[in-house]
Amino acid sequence: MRILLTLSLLLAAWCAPGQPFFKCKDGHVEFNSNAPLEVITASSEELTGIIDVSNKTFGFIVRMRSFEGFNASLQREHFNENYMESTRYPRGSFKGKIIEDVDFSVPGERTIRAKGVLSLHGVERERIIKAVMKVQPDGIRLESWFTILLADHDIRIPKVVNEKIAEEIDVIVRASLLPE
Amino acid sequence: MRLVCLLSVLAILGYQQGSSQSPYFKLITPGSEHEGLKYTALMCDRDGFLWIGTSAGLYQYDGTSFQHYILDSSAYGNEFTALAQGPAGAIVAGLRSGAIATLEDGRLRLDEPEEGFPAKAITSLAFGTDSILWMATAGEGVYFQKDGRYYNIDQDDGLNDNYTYCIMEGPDGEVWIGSDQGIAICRADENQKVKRQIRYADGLPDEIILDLKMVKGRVVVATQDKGLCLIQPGQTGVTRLPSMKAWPFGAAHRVVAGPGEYWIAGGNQGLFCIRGEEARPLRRFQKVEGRQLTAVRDLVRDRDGGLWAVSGAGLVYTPGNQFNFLTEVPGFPLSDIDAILCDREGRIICSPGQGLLILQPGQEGFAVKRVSVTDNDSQIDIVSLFEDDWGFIWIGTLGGGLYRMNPRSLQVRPVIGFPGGKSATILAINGKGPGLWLATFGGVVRLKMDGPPDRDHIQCFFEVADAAGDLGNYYIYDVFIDSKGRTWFATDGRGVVYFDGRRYRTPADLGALNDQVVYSFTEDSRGRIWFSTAQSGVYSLDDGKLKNYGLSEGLREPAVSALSFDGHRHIVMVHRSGIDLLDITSGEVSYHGADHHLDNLNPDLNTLSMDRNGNLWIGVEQGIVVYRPGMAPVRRGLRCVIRRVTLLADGSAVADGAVLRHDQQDLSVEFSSVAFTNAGRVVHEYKLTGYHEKWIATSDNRIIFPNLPPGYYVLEIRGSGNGQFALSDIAKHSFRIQAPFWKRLWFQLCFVIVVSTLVVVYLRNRERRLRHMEALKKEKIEYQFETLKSQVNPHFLFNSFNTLVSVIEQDRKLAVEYVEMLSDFFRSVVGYKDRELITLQEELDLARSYYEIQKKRFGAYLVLNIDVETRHLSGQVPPLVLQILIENAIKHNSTSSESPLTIEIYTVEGRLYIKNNLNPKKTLEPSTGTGLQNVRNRYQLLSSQKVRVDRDEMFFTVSIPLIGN
Repeated sequence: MRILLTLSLLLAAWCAPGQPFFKCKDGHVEFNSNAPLEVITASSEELTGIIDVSNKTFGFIVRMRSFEGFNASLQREHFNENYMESTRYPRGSFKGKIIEDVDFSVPGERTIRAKGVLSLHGVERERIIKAVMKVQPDGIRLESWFTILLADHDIRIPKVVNEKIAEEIDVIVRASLLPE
Repeated sequence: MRLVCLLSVLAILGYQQGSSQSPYFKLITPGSEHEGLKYTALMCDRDGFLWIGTSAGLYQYDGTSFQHYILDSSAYGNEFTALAQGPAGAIVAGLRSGAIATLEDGRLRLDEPEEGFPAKAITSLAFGTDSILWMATAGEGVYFQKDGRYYNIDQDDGLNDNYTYCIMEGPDGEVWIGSDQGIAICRADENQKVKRQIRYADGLPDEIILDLKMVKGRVVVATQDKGLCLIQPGQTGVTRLPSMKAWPFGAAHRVVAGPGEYWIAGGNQGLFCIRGEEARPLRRFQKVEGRQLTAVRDLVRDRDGGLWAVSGAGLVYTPGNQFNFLTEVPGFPLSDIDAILCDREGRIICSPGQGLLILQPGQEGFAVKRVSVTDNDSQIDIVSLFEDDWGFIWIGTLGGGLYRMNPRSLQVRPVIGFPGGKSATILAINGKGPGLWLATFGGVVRLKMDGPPDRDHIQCFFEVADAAGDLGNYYIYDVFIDSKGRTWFATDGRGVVYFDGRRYRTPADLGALNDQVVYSFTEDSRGRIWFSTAQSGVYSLDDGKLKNYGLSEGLREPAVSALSFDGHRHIVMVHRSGIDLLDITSGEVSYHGADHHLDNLNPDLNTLSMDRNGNLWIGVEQGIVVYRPGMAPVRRGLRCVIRRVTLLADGSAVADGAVLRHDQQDLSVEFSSVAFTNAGRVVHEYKLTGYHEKWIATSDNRIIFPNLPPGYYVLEIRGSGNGQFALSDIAKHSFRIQAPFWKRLWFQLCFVIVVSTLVVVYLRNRERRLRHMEALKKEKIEYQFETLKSQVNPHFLFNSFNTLVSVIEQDRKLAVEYVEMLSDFFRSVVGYKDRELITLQEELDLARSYYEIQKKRFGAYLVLNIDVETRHLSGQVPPLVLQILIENAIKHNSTSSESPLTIEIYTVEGRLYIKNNLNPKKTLEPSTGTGLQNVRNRYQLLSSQKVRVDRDEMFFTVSIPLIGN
């Protein structure tokens, strides 16, 4: 609920004219589970998010059911029903603040660190996530790579499929943000 | 009376403000190749090593040599700004670039946090509870590392300010952080990171907090502008140190606590020391070896109580306040101190060559007064001073008589009536009440004051003690009164003599004393009497038990000129090479020489005195040394650390407990013991249990063990600076070199099993072969017998003879041929019978001649067709096998015009076939059935292939294998 509230607040703020916001136009999240017996990949194009330039805060959300890919449709069902419990916890989110002082008006590529709360499967974890941010005349491009420890988010894997799902999931995020 | 007044001319220059005591400072550099280094951070690890973060790498110092460590990758630079030691002993270093590196196996490695390093400089590192590493940054708040992840605490989490300077592990698992806006008390708890802030409102005098230290349950806070203050954790309020009420020296970058003192790294203002919380004066040090102390940013106390500071001038070392020096007081240089006395007023009275100086310690140094003893001070030499029960100072001279000084007016008067008068020598004075003992060149003189002893004018009676001869005319160097009221005399030639109130005695066990020249006495807290001798070191006398401490017991000099118990745990021994401390509990001797600036002291006998605070004032050639007891931590011996054990062949590390192959038998061991003082005297001893059982001394820091035989080894190394190895910590490293596999039990067992199995198999085989050959032989004999028997088969002979008879009747010539044929056949039979095998060619020839003989009888009704491939002709068969089979065929079948017998001999696929058409006789000739069976048996022994017999309605076929084809 808190996330939704934050996001709606952010969105409300963004609607007000003259505010320096960047909104996610093209968001892509993919994850990789590289287990000894199976490699699972899935991705979503439904990443939404916003960066408030004035105080360096941001929020990103992705709907869990929007992940496509997997090795079988049954696997996708397991992902949603058994592991992520997408009905109870429909979204994953990351909201927080950029640690570095960033001047969004200067074009160029820089590595930034975003400190925030990663919410997944209903469990919130504070994380510092590194990202490469490219400021272009027409907007911002973000690219980030990080890992998620399933145990961190109480995502339990039955022993039977232990060898088929990695304990540490690699996540790649790519997003284009446009000024509003 | 006026004369006496005149004699005691007072030359008063008035009390002057000025110089105070100072510890010894020196600069230490890692060598010329490391010049231009900027020193930034210091740490002393738990083994005692000093770690120095610099602008160009990390240095480790053990008192002798510097080890240099740098990062291979240059991406994060090599400027180390913060250091900490982890719970497991690993050294963790923070860089100016924000990166964190760890030293493992002698290599610096960058951490690899997924979160990335802070982008701002690391200002401080500390390990909190649960081994959590805390990092303070200059601009991003603090980070903590938990379960491999970095977490951040900054202003968004309630941190006072993102610019942080220091981290301290506080009580209850909390961490105290000093920032630009006060103190934050934090936890590694994601929900509530900042628990409390301490700000101006709480009484903090300054909100820029540069350092925090936990000292005896209180937090010492070093601030940017207001010096130090104290906080009691769990309580509100901040205590200002009285000496810090007005602190004009700016930033206190680092604070280090010692026994009863604080040292402060004061940046460009230099180094500061305050003793005690009320203490004044605050002492400030601005120079070392003539160079200005600037940029003093970090400060650390080593395990021996020595202090290290980084400064613009380099690395600064001081052994601290254990020994202070007083080389001049305002207006007077202090040198050649022949006598010294600390009186009950707290004054220090000493004789620097001429007259007396009276030093009154004040807040800003000493106030000094000079007192003349006579009108010509240059002519007399003051060698002994004593304060009697009324505070009057008795002054003994070398050949100048005895004087007495009023402690208030400082008037000095000669004591009248002393034997020897104005040319008498008084080496030592001691006593109680109105009775004094005076040590002279001619024995002891007893003095008894008559009349009120608190008056300037006093009458004295003198008596030469023990004229009878116990002390005789010997020189007496020291008179000492112990806690039991005994008076001890140090004689030159008669050893130790004491007076128990009635008579003079020599302690019972002093027969063991081989040096009869005694210089000095003292008594320790256990009532033991200690004395020093001219050549044999120091003795302790405990209830009549005498114990000697000489060079082999760790003493540096056998001639100790002054001796005193320091009231804590050490006997202080003053000699020409310095000052040594002997621990009365452990017997450990610690040296204080050149590294403490205490060499070449050339002290006079018994020139020391203890002041009201328990400090010992020691007069030496260069001035006064003030020894402060209880400053050095109680520590026994040196601690040796094995740095690296490697294989000589490839330099790979050998861990403790490692198991090595038999060919990994050449090892190199590097080790060192930390010794920041007397490093040059450190010697190591090692013992490799499993190889040799004796300690072997080495002055190297590396041992090479070549060609170690297989076995289990424990290497022990210990170091000592004074030969007292038994007190040192031993470093241990164990390893095992395995025997080569052919020398190990499992292999030898296997070998025995395999060999014995082979032998058994061989023997069995051989037996079987022999049995086989036996059978073969037997079979052969049987076969020969059978064949022979068949050759002389009566039917064959009868038939042959019948045939012969008929032939003779018809054609004599033919008969002759027939007989020749028969004899040919029998010759061949006889010729072949001994041979095991004959060729098929030979056998066929034999069969043909047999056929010819039989043909004479049966005529055209017996037909033999031979169709053998030429390549099989060299194949072998047992002799007469065909003959037996042909004979069998003739025997069992009738041969007549109605039913001719056709025998075919041919080869198919390496086998020889003998086939005849079946035409069984109506009357059977008697058959033994042995013919075919013999052939079978024979082949069983000769070949793995069997003889096959095929019988159908038309034909009878026998096939035999061809051997060797």
